[in-house]
Amino acid sequence: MQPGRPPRLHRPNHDTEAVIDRASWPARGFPDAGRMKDNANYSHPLLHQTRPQSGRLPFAMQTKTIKTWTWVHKWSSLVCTVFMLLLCVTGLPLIFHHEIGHLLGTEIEAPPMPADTPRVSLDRALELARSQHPDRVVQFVSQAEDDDSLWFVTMTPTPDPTDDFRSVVVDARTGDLLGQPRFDQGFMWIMLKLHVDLFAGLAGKLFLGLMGLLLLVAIVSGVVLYRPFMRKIEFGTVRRDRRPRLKWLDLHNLLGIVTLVWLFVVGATGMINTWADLLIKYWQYDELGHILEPYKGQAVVPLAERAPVQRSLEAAMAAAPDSKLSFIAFPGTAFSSPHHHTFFLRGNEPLTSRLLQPVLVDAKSAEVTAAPKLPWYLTALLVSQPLHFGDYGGMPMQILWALLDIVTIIVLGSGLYLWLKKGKAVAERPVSKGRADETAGAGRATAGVPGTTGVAGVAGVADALPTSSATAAVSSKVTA
Amino acid sequence: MTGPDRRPDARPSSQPKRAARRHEGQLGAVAIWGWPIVLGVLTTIGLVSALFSDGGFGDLLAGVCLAVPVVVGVWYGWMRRRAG
Repeated sequence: MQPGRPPRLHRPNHDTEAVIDRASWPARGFPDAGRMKDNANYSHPLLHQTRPQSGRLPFAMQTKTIKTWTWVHKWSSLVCTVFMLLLCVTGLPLIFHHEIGHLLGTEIEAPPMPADTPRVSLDRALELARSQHPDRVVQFVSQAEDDDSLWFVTMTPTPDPTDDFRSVVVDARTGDLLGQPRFDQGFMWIMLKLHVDLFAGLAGKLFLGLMGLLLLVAIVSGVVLYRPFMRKIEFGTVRRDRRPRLKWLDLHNLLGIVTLVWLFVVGATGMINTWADLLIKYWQYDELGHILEPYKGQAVVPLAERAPVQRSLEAAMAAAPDSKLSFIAFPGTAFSSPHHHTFFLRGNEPLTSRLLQPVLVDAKSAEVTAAPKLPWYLTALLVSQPLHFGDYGGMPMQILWALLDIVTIIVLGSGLYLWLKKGKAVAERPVSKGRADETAGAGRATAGVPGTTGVAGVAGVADALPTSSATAAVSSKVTA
Repeated sequence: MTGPDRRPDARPSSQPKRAARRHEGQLGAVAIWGWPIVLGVLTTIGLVSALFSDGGFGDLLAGVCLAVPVVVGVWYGWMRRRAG
């Protein structure tokens, strides 16, 4: 015991039953493991008396291991919790973005027509879009996953990645302008940006990715700590009849272990998603570098020199039969080369519909240059997306995603509460002489970390005890 | 369910290690990790099965498998108290 330093104890507990209740020891003891550092004497004489005969040396080691993992769990979660709460809260409406768009009437729907209605040339749709925004270029053209009757044309000032974009929706069958929804404003946009990059672009994304990594560390360390907390209480035990902190500790452990795999998967896939920009850049540098060798030194193909996009589309579709168009990246954009229209096609099977086959079509000649197989890291990125979004199992899955998200918010919130409350418990009840005996009772429950046995030492809590006979008295009660 | 002061781990055991554990009122590995492993496996099955299905059996299986952890959490966390 360092001079002038009061022993750190939990609130006194008058309930002798609780003192004897060994089942609650680990749960009360371990949260203090972090506070045991710098205090090798943090133990209780009681432990020395009741457990020396066990002679199980590994206990000392175990304590150190537990302290290390407690430290890891505490700091990894503390750093990321606020951001994770933000991600959980903003992610909640994003799970239902289609339905919300539907309700708000911002979703544009194609007027019903027979399936075999002839389609107008894609170039006509592009012309219409360009006439709406003569000062912008077409960056992407995409189709909805389940409906090919609409063209979504994304228009930006330059081919470079930007948040400044306009969307023009054209009916693929009639060539009519159906609307210009603004995806870059309103409630859902704010939710999306807060969720994806905190309005800070690539840096924001990578920062959130790092927070995601910390979440994974917190999950793993939490699982390691699950055993010491749970080895004397049955699965699902929530002790409500004691201090609220104990109840929330039990809830934290229960809900944490229940959502474990889901949160790990959503966290990991979210982290992978933050690397999307970098992965695509690497792909362009690595794979496309070889394909684009003959084009070296050439500028972005000017609009006037480009072959009709419809012809390129047909060439691309012929190169990959049994596939559907997902989107077209125009020359010079992040997903293409300066000299190609890149058509991203998806398969027709449930799983292959998640994967994309890029087909590079020369923008001038409308001839297919290459259809490189997607590298493993982009395949991993594409497979990780549904696992993060929860959009691949219909409405029941969306609802479950939302419920698991809410449970995660409770896990994060209770974790924060447990940390905040720990400091308070010490501040509220300073150890005073008059309460020493009460404190001793609590000390028994608190210091009852099985692992501390090996680190015996009749200092620490013993200082607060009036007589050693009191210790003996209570200890005999416990061992009885 | 068992109160906190009952020792649920009452299996007879001849191994000294187990006997020591039982003496300390500790639960065995199965008692501690049984439910978490079951829930983890169910979650994994749920997450994967829907990837290979488009509105079919896989989606249904995913719904059931992912609902179990939620139900278990809500049951032990809040419902059980009211049920007595």
